[in-house]
Amino acid sequence: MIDTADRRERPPVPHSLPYNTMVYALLIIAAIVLMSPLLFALSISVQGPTMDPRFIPRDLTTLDFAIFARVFEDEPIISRWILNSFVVASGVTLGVVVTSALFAYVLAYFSFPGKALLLFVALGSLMVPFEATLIPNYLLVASWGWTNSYQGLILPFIASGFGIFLMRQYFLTLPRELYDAALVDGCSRFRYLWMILLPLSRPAIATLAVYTFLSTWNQFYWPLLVTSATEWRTTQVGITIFRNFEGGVVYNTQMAATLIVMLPTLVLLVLGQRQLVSGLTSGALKG
Amino acid sequence: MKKVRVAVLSSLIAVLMVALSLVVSPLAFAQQATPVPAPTITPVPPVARPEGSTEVVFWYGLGGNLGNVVQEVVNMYNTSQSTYYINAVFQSSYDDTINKINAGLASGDLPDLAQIFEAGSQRMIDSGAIVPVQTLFERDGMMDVVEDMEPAVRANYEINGTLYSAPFNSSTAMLYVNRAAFAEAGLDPDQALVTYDDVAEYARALTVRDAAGTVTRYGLAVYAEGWFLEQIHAVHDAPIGLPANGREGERMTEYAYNGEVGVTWVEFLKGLVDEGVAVYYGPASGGSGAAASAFVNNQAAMHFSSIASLRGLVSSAAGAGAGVDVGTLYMPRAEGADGKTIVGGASLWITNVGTPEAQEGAWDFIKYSLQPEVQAFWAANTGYYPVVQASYEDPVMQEALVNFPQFQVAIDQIRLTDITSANTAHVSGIFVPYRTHYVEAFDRYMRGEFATAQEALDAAVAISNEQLTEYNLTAGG
Amino acid sequence: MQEDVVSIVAPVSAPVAYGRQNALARWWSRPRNRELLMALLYSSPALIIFFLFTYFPFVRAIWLSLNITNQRGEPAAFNGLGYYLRVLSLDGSGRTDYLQSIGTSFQFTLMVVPTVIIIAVGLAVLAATRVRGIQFFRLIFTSSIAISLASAGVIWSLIYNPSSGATRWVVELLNLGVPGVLNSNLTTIPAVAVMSVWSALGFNFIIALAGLQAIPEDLYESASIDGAGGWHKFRFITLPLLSPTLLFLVIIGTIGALQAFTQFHLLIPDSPNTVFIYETFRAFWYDNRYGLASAMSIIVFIILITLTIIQYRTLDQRVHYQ
Repeated sequence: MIDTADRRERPPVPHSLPYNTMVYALLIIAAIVLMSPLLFALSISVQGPTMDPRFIPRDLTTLDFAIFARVFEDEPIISRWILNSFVVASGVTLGVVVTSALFAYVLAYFSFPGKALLLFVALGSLMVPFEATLIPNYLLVASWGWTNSYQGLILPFIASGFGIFLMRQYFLTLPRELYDAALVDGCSRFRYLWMILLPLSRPAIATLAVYTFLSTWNQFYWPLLVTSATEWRTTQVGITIFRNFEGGVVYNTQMAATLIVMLPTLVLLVLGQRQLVSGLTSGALKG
Repeated sequence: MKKVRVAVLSSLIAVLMVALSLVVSPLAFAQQATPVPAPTITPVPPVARPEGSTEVVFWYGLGGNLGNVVQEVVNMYNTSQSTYYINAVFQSSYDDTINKINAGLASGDLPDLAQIFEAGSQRMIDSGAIVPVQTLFERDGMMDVVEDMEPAVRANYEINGTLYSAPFNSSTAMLYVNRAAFAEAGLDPDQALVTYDDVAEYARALTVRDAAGTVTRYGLAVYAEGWFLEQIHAVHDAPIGLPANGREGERMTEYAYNGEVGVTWVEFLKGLVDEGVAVYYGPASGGSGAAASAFVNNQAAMHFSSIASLRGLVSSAAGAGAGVDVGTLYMPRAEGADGKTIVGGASLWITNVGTPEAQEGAWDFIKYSLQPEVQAFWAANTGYYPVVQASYEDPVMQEALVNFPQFQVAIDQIRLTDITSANTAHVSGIFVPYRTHYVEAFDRYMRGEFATAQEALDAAVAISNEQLTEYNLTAGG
Repeated sequence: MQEDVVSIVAPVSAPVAYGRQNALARWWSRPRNRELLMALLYSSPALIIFFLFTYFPFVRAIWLSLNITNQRGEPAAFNGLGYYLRVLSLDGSGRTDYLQSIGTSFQFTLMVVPTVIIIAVGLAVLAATRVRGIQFFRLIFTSSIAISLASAGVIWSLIYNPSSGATRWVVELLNLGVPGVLNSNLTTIPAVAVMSVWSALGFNFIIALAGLQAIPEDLYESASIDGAGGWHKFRFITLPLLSPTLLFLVIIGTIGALQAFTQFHLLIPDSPNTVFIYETFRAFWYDNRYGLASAMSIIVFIILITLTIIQYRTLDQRVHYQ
């Protein structure tokens, strides 16, 4: 696929005034429409504790912007949820990068009997959708007592057929002669991987890391199953359980918390847009 | 070049306008009502654990304000002595607690003490991982406490002669009414025992339309909830499951809520909705909140809910300023039925997986929680019944009854008639799933996917029974 | 695979008889064998995870689907193909819930995928204009990538909630006679689809934009010289050259929409009309019927693998074309 970011952006072209006006009008309308659910959430957040919120606040003079700071005091557990999400997303990202690099190294450089089988095992994992293994995985993790634990949230995800494929493809673009020469010079295999190959593969690693972090941060189904104690929820599950309190839903707190937990991934998008886009495009190969 | 863009852009406008209109609506800020302050929830922090105390892990499923009162009771216990320390862990809901217990049976990750709703009773008994509290009451010569329990409450947790768990929070279902609207319409909000015909008549009288014919207040708010179906069977003294709700020595083998009682109830609600005097808000997960919101904002004059929501509804109604005066009536019924309702809520179960000391600690907390003044504190701060009758002599409880006269109606309702197996919660291993099957069928019927209530309930009963048969086949295995 | 590692490693570290050691040394002296050992060592972390959390559970799911389980998920009675016959309505019960939910899944997919692609291409055309500040707008159009389905679901469930009144006009416009758009058969699935379109727009936009920018500018210029009009250029240059991108979006979108879970869990958890992934979740999570749910999940697998194979085939073909 095509990576926009790799193409040098052409400079703005001067256009006629009516053309520009219309383009900007459309851009602004589209932006407002797309942002309107977020504006809605923002509006509800600042309306104070009400069971009867409105998109346009009734009273624009009493908006409660302090809610974004107070939400951490009212619901101190949110900090823990954010920590959980960070630990899990970082753990999975680290795990995926390490296991994928090792596995891809083998696929790209080693020659031994049964290599095709190894490739088959890695790619075959892409053919089995998450849903088909969910129930036994849950039973397995539960039987080990891994519900409400980081290992239960992280370990099942630290190998990725997609990651292996991505790394292997990247490794194959690097000159093979480098490897052969290094080994002749007495460089060990591991040393070559660590000192030469990985530093050369930084773009692929960045892509894989950003993509993995984002998709893990946004995971919902698995954390919903394997966490039940409030302090073990991740942000994604946490924000939804505000709904279940018998004391009535506190919409403003819920919306404020929802907006807050979006921030890390929005920041990641701004900083890592380029890696993300190439990750998403190569994600095509993931079933 | 330019023209390409313009052509595409203009077609784009159309698409975007549709999306825009979906969200930014001209009516979004019409139809104003005053904002309702929801109760602000500041979590109650647990007290510190004393050195050398035995930790007792306690899972509970009540959130929000109710959960805070649980933590307060736990704190009171923890500061009252230093041998045991109750570590109360919130489990987001009753359903999650029982689900987690299920998972824990395999992994051994179980608490010493768990708050489980009556829907989980059969599964807890079948788990083989519990200590029936009756043995402990007998061992400590405390059967007088059991004798003093509210009879309907005790009956609920005494299954085939054994009290398995200690009642903790007990409630029942009510028909909430707006007394102010009743007064306006010249209706009597003090006649607690009402028939379907009465409620239909009320609903018609209470429905208000504006000049354009649009309804501004419905007579009744409806949502799909299995608990109400059980209540309706109880007031008609009809078992929901056979034989005898699973309470007369034999395991329940089939559901029977597709009989006349169930069908009449569902038809009654649908009839009112079709007539335009009731409004249907969907399954309870979202519908109960929406219905409560409509009730306190005077957009619906009658509403079904637990007596435990009394305080929340009263304070929300006061905050809404829509002039709603909250009253309570019995659950409606067919002409001539005068039965009591079922007790809902939850009870405390002791597991047998912990150390003997932890089990003793769990039992010690149960004894504490059943003290009349603790139950009075609990009931007065939540809206649940005191589970022991001695609590009614406690000044805290007496004051609560003065402040909330609606509460007395609920107490009267569970004392209406003698206790039978049909007016006590049924005991089934698929209690939670059966409710889902019923709610689904009810919702389909309300959406017009079933021609008759009978068809809807027959379908729900069929799938319930299929699952019950499977459960019984594998139970305890 | 794991056992292989053990049996190869063990003799190396254990004290062994001289002759044996000799054979071992010979084995070790062959580079191919040394490579094999190293290969297994390096690939073992991922292999262990794959076997533990993908292949073994998959086989176990097949086994569970043939059994009635107890509440702990242990097989308690062999049931053969009973559950498959039941969910596919071949058991004579006339119960078609699961088949209906498969229908709903495809219906939902048909609503989401074309809509999101059309809007995304429209936005991409708009955002491909090279005006000042366009980067800012592109970021906004992409932003929903970073907004999780859970966050989106929480926000949209309040948008659809009758108490916020934000969608009351839809109810009145269509004269639904229910309080909210999630209460009517006419609007429930479309409402979830609208939310899903919003959520998927960022991804589809960025891919469409990339595709659009890859079209060489000089093609348009030479077409202009030949006197081609705007529509002509869109129809005969943009669309054909964008078609691989569109195909890619259709494939990804279809598989993604068929796997939709979060939005159904958050917006319509109890609705009788739901998608097959959610129907599976209910059997698993609420009913604890692990055998039945496993049978459903195997059917999900068969449907998805069929689509995945089609996906690989089409992508292969595309490679040949280029």
